[in-house]
Amino acid sequence: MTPARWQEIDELLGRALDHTAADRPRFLDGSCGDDRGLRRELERLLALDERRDFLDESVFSVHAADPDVGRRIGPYETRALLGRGGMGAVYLAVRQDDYTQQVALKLIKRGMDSDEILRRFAAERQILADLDHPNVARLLDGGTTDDGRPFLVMEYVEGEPLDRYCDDRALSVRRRLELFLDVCSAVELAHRNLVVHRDLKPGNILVGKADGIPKLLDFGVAKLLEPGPADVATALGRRPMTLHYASPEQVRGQAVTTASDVYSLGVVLYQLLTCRLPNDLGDPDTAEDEKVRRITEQDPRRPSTMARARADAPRQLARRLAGDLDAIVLKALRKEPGRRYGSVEQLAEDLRRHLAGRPVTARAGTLGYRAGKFARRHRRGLTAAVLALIALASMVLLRGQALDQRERAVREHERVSRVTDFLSGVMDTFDPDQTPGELTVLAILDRNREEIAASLADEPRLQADLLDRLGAVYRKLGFFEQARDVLEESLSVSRRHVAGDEPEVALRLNNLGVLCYDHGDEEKAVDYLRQAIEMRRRLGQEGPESVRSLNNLATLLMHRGELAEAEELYRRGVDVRIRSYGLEHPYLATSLRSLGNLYWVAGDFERAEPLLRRALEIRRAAYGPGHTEVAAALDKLASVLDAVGRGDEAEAMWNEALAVRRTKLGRRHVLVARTQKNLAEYLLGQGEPASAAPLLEAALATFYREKPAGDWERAEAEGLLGAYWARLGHAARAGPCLETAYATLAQARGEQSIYSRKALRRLRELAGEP
Amino acid sequence: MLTRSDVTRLLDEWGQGDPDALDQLMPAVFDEVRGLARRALAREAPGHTLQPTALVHEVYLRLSGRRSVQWKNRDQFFGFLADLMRRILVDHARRRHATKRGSGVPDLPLDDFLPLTHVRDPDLVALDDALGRLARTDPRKCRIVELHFFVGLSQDEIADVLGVSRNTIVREMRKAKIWLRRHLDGEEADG
Repeated sequence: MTPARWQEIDELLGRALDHTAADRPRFLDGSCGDDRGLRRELERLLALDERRDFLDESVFSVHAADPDVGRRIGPYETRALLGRGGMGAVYLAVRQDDYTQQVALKLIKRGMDSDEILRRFAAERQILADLDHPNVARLLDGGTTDDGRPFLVMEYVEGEPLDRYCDDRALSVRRRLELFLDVCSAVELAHRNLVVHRDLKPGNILVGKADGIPKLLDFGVAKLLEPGPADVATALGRRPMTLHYASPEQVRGQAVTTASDVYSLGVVLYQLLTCRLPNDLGDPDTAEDEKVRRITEQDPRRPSTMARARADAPRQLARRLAGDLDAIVLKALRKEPGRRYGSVEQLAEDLRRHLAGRPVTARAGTLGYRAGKFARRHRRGLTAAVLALIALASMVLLRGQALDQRERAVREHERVSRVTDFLSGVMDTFDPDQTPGELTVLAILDRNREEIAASLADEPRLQADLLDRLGAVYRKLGFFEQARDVLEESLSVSRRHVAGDEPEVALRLNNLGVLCYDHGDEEKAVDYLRQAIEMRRRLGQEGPESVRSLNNLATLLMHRGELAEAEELYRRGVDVRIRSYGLEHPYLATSLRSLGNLYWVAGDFERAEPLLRRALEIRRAAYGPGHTEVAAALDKLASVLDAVGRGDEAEAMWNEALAVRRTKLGRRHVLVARTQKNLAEYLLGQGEPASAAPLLEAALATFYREKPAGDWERAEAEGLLGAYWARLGHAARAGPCLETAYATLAQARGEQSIYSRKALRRLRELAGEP
Repeated sequence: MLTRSDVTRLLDEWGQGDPDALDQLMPAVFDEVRGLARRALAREAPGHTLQPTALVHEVYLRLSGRRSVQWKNRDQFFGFLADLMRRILVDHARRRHATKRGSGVPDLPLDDFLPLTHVRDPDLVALDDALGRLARTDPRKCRIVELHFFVGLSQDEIADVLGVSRNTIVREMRKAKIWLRRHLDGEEADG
C-alpha cells in the first residue's frame, strides 16, 4: 500500500466513522463506487472499530498485572481476576460460544508445578466431582492449558462472604442460623464422602446475590480421609494461612479430622452471632508461637459475654445468645476434638432443636431446663393446665369437708399444702430464670401421682379426672411411658366405678389411642380408638366431637394398609360433618380432603378428584385464594390430576400453590419444598429435567436443612435427584442417590407399606428403569 | 520506598542482565511517571522547568543509551515519558517472551514472576512492532496512542498537550486503534 493510498483510505475511514452504522452502507456506496477492493478494505477496517481489547486501556489501568486475564483457556476466556490463593488464582471466565455463561476458572500459578501442588489440584477435582449439593459450588469442567497448567472450571457464585452478607443486611439471629444450617448440610455431605474441608471460613462460603443461597467453595486444601497413592506425610496438613479458623490440632500440625471442620464451623458460627472472632490473636506482629498458644490454650469468651462487651450490640443480643447458643458454640469450639460434637450433623441437629424451642444436648439435661423449654413453647397452654389443677384441687378441698372434720382437716391441710407445693413446685421449675438443680419435675409428678392414688381412692371420678390431667402434663413434658400408665390407670378407675358407657370414658379411650399412636404402638392405638368409636356410637353420640376419633383411626388404618375400613370411617366422618356443619364449612373440606387422599393413595383417581376439587372450592370460598389451606388443597389435587393425565392443569395448580406457599410461609419452608418436589417430579416425568432442576435444588436445600437423614420426604427428594441424573445419562451420579433413597424409603415405613411401594415404583419409572 | 543507593544498585543489576531488578524498580517508575505527567499537565508556574526525577532520568538514559536528554516544551516532555514507558515495558516483555521460546537468553526464575502490567507479553511486543509501522505513515497517530497507552493520559489531556481539539483526538485515536488492530491481526504489509 502506498502512502498515498493509505492517506486516501484513512480519510474515507474517518468520514465513514462519522456516519452512524445505519448510514454507512450508503456512504460507502457513494464513495467507493465500483472499487470493490476499496469497499472491502473499508468494511474490514470498520469492523475493527467494534473490537474491544487491551488497546482500550492504558498500562496504568488498575487490573494489576495478571497475564492470565483475557486469555483463552480451552473453550473459555478469562475476563477478570477474582482472587488469588496459595495454589493459584481464580478468574471470572466465559464460554467462548456463549458469553452469557459465567464460570469461575481456577488456574495453578505459573511455576508451581511441584508434584504436591499438582496432586492437590487433582484431588480437588476429584472431590468436587463427587460432591453434588445445592450448597457446594459445582464442578463443571477441567483440563490443561496449552502451557501445561491444570485448571478447574466451577460454578461462578456472584456473591458475598457469609459474614459480610449477614452484616450488610443486618440479619436476625434466626436467619443467620438458617444460612449456617445450609452450610452445615454441605459440609455433612463432604464428610460422608470422606473429605475434610480443612479451610472453612466465611471467605470460602459465598452467598449468591441473586438467590441468597450459600455455597461452599475451595476444597483446595481439602484432604481425602482415605489414604490414596499420595504419601502419608502430607496427611499431617501444612499450617493453614488463616489461623483464626484453624483448630488447635491443625495449628499444632497434628492429624486433621472431621472434628477440625466442626471447630472451624464453630468459629464461623461464633462470628455470625457476635461479629467477633473467638480467639484474640493480637496484631499481625504478634509472634506466630504466641498465636498458636492462644488457639490451643486460651478459652474463648462466651458469645453472650462477647455480645455484652460490645458497645454497639443491641442489649437483647446477649440475652438471645445466652443459654443454648452459648453452649452450642462453645461445644463446637472445645480444644479437644473428642469433646466437640461428634459430627456436623449433630451440631446442626442441636441448632435445629434450638430453633424449634426444644432442649439442646449441649446443655445439662436437667428436667427443669426441659420444663422451662416447655413453658416457653406452651405459655398459654401451661396456664390452662395449671388452672385446671387448681380447680381440681379446690374441688378436692370442698369434697373433703363432708367427712369427719378434725381428721379431715388435718388430712386436707396436708393435701392442700401438697397440692400447693406441687403447683408451686411446678411453677418454680417452669421459671426460666431459676437455676434448676435439685428440683426435678418428674419426681414431683411421681410423688403426686402416689398422693392422688392414696387420698382419692374413694372418689373415683375425681381421681380419674386428676389422673387425666396428670397424664396430659406428663405427655407434654415428654414422659410418654408415665403418661400412658397414668391414663390407663385413669381408664381402669373409671371402668371400675362407672357402669357402662360414659362420654368421659370414650374421651379417655380416644386420648389413649392418640397417645399410643404417637408412640408407635399401633396395635394398642387401633384397639383404643375402636373402643372409643364404638362407645360413642352406643351412646348415640355421633356428633362432631366423635369425628376426631373416626379420623384418627382412619388415618392409622390407612397407614397400615387397611384401606377399606379407613374408607368407611372417613365417610362416616364426612357424613357427620355435613350434618353438623352443612356443605360449605372448612371442617367438611378437611374431611373431604382426607377421604380424597385415601382414594389417591389407593390409586382410585376417579373418586379422588371430585372430592379434592370440592375441598378446594370450599376452602377457596371460605378463605380466599391466597390462603395456605387452599395451597394445600391445590397441591394434593394437582397430584391427582397428574395421575389422570391432565398434566397442564396440574402444573398450573402446583405453580399457584407454590406461589401462595412461598408468599405466606417464606421461601425456606418445608411445605414450599414439598410443592417444589411435587412439581419437579411432574416435570421429570414430562421429560423436562432442565425445568425440574432448579426446583429440585431448592427443595433439597430446605430438606437437608430441616429434616434429618432418615426422613421420608427428604429421601423422596434425593431419589428424584437420582432420577434426574439417570435421565441425563449420568449413571455414576444417579446410582448412589437412588440406592440411598430406595433404602431409606423402604426402611422408613416398612417395605410392604403401600407408600413405600408406590414411591419406589414411581422413582424407578422416572429413572427409566425397567 | 527506594533509597538512592537502592536505585543505583538495582540499575546496576539490571544493567548486568538481571530482569528482576527492573521488577523492583518498576512500581517506583510507574508512580513517578504518573506524578510527572500530572504535574506537567497542571502547568506549574512558569520558570518551573520540567524535570524528570532522578530515577526516571537514569532509567531512561540506561535504556536509550543516550548521554543526556533534552526537551523544549511539554509536548516533548510527554514524548519523553511515553518513550520511556514504552521502552521499559517492551524491553521487559521481549525478554520474557523470548525466554519462553528458548532463544538463549538466560533462564528467568518463573516463580512469583509478576508481570508489570495486565497486558500480555506477546501483545506488548506485537504492539511495539505495529506502532513502528504506524509511525512510518502517520507519526501523529502513533504519538496519540503512546500518550494514551503508555502514559495514561485521557483524551482531553492529550488534546491539551498536543494543542488540538478534543474531537480531533477522539477521531484520530479511533482510527489509530483500527490501524493497529489491523497490523496486530497480521494482515498486509504497508508502505
